[in-house]
Amino acid sequence: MKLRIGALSAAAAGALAAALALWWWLASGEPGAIVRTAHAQAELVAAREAAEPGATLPVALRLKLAPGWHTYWRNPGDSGQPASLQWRLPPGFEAGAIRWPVPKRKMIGPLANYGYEGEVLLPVELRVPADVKGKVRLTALAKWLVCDPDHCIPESGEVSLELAVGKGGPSRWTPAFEAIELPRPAPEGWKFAARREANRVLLELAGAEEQALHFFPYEEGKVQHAAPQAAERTAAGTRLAIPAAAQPVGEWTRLHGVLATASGRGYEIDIPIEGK
Amino acid sequence: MRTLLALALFTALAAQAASVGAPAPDFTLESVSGGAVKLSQYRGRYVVLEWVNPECPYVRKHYGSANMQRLQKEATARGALWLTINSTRAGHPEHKSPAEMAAWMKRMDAAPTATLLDPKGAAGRAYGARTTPHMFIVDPKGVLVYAGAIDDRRSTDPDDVKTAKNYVRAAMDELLAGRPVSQPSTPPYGCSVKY
Repeated sequence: MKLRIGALSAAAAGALAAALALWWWLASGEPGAIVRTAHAQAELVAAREAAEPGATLPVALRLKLAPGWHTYWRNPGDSGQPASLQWRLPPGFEAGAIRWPVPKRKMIGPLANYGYEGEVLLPVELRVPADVKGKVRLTALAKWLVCDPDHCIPESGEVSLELAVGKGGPSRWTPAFEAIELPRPAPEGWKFAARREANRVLLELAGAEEQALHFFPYEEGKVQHAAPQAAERTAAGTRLAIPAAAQPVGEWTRLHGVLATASGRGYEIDIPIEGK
Repeated sequence: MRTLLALALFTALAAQAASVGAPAPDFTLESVSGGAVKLSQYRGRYVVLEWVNPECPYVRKHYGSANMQRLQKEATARGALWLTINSTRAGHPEHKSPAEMAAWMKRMDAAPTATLLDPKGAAGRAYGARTTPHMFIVDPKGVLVYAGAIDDRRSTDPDDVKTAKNYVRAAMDELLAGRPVSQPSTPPYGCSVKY
């Protein structure tokens, strides 16, 4: 019985939180009001000051996390969960998926998380319909998990942004959008080969100067997230040893993910793994 | 030096981590109701292992919706044993004493065979337990036959339990029907185990 009451009061608290979020949104005349939670500030920001009919509009969920707290990449690592957006858009608008910036690895004891600390912009491309007029309000229910090494808290909020329709210019957020470190294609001239050797995959990289590399897999259950990835110099370039998950999920047939450098750049790779 | 030490600790963890299809590591842990429980004393029966932390929102989802308790009752009614293990280290802000853990389980109307504390994390590390919850099934021969998530809906929303595919129930259905587990390894989700 107690459990029922607990569940009910949790539902009531959820409804109250949703109502408060809605009230906050309705009451705020700000174009992009900041949602403040216990461990984060969240807002919806746009790279342009107006929504141009027929164009693509880069927007982003901007999360500013309290010091010591982190949130997650698309593959969260050993625990956790990536942020999500449920859009409520005017007719004809279409939202793409979140494009995940290059993550960092955060060790939590013997475990590892992939994600972000401090301030992060999670960008999404919106398709603006050609026949839109006047002003538009873009709204999303954002959910994110924040953790510090000791605790995990699911947080959420309704983020919203009102924009004029028109050509417009860059917004005050444009520099922040330009600074987002999205995975880029590997440079021309980099040559990759990967092969399975016992309980690790060896990635051979030729033609690159980069030494300190780390591979972040898109899929869980392939890589042992917390294991060090040893790099060694070879005649042709660099060899990176990537330990396999102790409890693998499915066959590991491709190295698909982001190869990150010490400077925080990331290169998207998708190459077959030879051998068994 | 620190790197070496970290490497040594890590190697020890990885070298021990249980793998599906291999013998499940044995352990002896203190029960919250007193006395020690040794996994191998249950040879001949299916044993479900559940990693728990009452302070974790993912754990609260499954207990708040009574999903975990239902699964515990169902499994034990079918002849399996169920061990709920808390590997939160002593001194961690979310650590529970045996009395606190027992009281929480009682308040939740939980029904495992035993609730065990693993404050040094030895059992957790041996199984490579990473999240709360993280679920494992050991077969009557002592072989690990399932490792992974409780279900396929990574969320803290209790409503998702209704529409989720429960991997533990599906695995028990297959095992009791004499079939191999079709999804023996899935990515676990939840809070990190507080080693």
